[in-house]
Amino acid sequence: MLEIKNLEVSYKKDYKKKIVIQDFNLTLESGKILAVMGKSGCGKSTLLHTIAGVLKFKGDILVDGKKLSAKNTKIGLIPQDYGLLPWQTVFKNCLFGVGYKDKEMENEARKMLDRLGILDLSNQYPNEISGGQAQRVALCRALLLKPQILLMDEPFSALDEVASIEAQKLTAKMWNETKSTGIIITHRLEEALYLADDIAIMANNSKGTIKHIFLNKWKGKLDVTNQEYLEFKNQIEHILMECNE
Amino acid sequence: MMKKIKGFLCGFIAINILWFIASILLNTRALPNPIIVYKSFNIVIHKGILSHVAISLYRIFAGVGISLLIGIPIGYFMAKSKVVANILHPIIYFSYSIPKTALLPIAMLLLGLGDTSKVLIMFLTMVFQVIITTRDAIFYIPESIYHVGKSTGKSEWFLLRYVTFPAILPEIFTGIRINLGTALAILLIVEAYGTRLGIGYYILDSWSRMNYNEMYAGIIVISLLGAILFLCMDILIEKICKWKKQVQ
Ligand SMILES: Nc1ncnc2c1ncn2[C@@H]1O[C@H](COP(=O)(O)OP(=O)(O)OP(=O)(O)O)[C@@H](O)[C@H]1O
Ligand SMILES: [Mg+2]
Repeated sequence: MLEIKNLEVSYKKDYKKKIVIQDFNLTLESGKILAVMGKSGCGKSTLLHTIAGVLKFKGDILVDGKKLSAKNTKIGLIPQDYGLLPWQTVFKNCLFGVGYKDKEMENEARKMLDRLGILDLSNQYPNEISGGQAQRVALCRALLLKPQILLMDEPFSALDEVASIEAQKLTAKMWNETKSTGIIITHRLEEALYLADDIAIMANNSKGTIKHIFLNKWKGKLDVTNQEYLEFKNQIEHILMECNE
Repeated sequence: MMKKIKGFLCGFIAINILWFIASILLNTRALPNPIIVYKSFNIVIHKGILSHVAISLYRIFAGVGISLLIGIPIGYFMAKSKVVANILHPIIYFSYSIPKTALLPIAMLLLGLGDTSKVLIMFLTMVFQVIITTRDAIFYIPESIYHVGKSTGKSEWFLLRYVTFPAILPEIFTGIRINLGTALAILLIVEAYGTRLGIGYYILDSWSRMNYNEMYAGIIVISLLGAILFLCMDILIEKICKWKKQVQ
């Protein structure tokens, strides 16, 4: 279980403090996936980076009751820009998370790359591959860690419609196997409905408060035309609109 | 690679043609015909110009090497620590503008006429540029490139080795290239006194003896030396920074 209690995160700029997240609380059961939505600039990436251990914060972040730290908890992070190192080949980039010492890992990396369909890109550099391929490299890097927590920041937003749906299917399949607790940031509602157990909408009040959490029973289903589904979608869209005002 | 060598050859030939025309037009002993100069290369090499080159190369590599060994860590700590930056910045800012070659007499008085004072002047001329290049390069690395490393609990050392260092490597190499040019230029100053070896000394000495053939041979050799060093750097950059799009 992932618990966040009284979280406060701020950025310092020219000695001024800018609070982005305040009085933030959240619980997410192990193995569940939460989608986070909200207006641009409301603090979604900030929240994700805080959980990833990149930013300093006040309050508590607990995993199964213990303080979360990058050293004790395996965290797979896929940043908004995928965070690949331009001077490393695809293969080396995949190993970046687990380190370069373990020879066994190299075999696993090859297997994983193969399953993701990008083994033949192993020796390419990130500036030589497409956005969708880069996204899969980042996914491979995260999955090799066998993460307890998987964090994804708009992983499909740079892809076109077809590539995005394909990538979502692949991600869902991999996610099912790792059983990681996950948080995925997205601005496409269909994505959230397909991948997540819960959908959280963040308010646009410069405090990053969660305005509403929806329980989603349509996870794993694509192209639903069911009336109930459409109503549910409408309802969420309505809240999203309110947040954008 | 082949393109670079081709460009290099074209430039070489063009300059020699210009030189040839100028020598005929001016018709003075101070600008001999290139053909005569190249003919005298035989004797020049026989008389040991290559050992002069070797000594100069040693001084250049020592100067560049030490300035990198000392400059990169200082630049790194200036980028990482506000305190270090605040202490060092005024010193570096002030001494950046001093022409280091003007310090040569002091260096010779304190350290003697040997190589130490010569390498010191080379080092001083180059180290500030290394420090500032390193500091700026680290400063401009986007913070986000560290996110994945931090989220997996990597050590400072790991991040330095696999993220920071490779990120600044292209800038460092560009800096070395500029420094090699500087080092060649100041050879003529640091080798003017207190030595009987070095290609800079060789040029100045044959000049004072009014042996223009040897003087021109020396100038050609130092130019070739510069060109070869540049070519080697370009090849090295291409090899090590494969991931960077090459600018022609
Ligand atoms: N490094 C930083 N320094 C200062 N302020 C920052 C920094 N990063 C983000 N912010 C500010 O924090 C707020 C939240 O930013 P964040 O990136 O978390 O938004 P977001 O919800 O992910 O937006 P988007 O949907 O556009 O990615 C914004 O107002 C932004 O200006
Ligand atoms: Mg964001």
